[in-house]
Amino acid sequence: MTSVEVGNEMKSSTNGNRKKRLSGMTLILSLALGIMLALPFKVIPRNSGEPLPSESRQELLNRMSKIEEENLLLVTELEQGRGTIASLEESLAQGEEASQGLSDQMSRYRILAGLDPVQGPGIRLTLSEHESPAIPGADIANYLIHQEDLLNIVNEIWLAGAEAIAIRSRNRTERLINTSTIRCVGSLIDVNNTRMTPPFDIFAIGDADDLYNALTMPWGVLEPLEFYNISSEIVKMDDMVLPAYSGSTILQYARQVEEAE
Amino acid sequence: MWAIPVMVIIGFTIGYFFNIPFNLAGSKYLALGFLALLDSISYGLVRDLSGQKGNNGPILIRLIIGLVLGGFIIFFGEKSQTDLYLVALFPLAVGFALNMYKFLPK
Repeated sequence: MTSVEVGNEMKSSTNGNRKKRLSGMTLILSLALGIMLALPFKVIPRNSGEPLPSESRQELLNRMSKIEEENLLLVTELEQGRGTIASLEESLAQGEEASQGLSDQMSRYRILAGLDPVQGPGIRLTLSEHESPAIPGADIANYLIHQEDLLNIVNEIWLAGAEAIAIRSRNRTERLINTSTIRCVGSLIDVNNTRMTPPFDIFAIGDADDLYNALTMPWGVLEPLEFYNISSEIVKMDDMVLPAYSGSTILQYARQVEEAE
Repeated sequence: MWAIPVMVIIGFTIGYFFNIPFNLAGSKYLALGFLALLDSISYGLVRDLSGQKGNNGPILIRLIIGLVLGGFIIFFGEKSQTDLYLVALFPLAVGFALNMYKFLPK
């Protein structure tokens, strides 16, 4: 049907029978259009900040997945290298009794540095986000877990005497060491350059009662989170195993202070 | 005619107060869906006002064809690292423009 015919028919229809029934599908699609029109008002507050150009997003994702694959390979190589070092240390310790003390001391430092898996009692803190209330004008960002929240909790746990801390998200667990980083990257949180999403499990080895009390004290680090529907659950554990730090610990610049002769 | 803005307002209210998981679809697919809806609604309106009967089927077919073809073009573009976003939206935009043209006074 050409535009002229339609125009004529529409004109005649307005002259004659004024009430034309709209088809049900048009009305249903209008409803769907209305629902879609509400989308900007629901999504824009979540994505505060500069949006990424759509053309580069796919390229970035591809590059990121390649880097992650390379990272996994390097982690495997690193673990193999550490295994070799451990076996060499073991043979050294076996060969010389005098080196036993040195080996013990080294083992202690390796635990402190996060280079060895570690075992002991402690707590598991689970942080979960929940649906934000549909309050018009409410800042939805407040209802998300941010780097500051994790940093505050980790600081509080260290202060309470934790000897080892690890953060788990889904199937990835990252041990925290002195060079560990926790920072927001878009809607995700990077822990030791591993992207993590809620819910988070924070494991800490130490005196379980001290750790529990430090986290649950009034006006503590967890209390403000409850206001924003971020739930926390603390479980005291008799025994748990935290993995070793999987990143690189190679020092390029820092070295021991040379003693003056 | 008045029923359309009423339905749009009802839809907007539903979309605003209920958490409909739009974020599951990418922004390109959302744009495609939005344009396909505009195209199908204007197409249905033209048919309804010209007095044709049994328009549900053709409107639905037009919507599905628009979504499937456009969706395939975008998907193909993403897989082949080619930006075919505008190519996918262009036919729907032209269809919508032609439908609106029919409302112009002759």
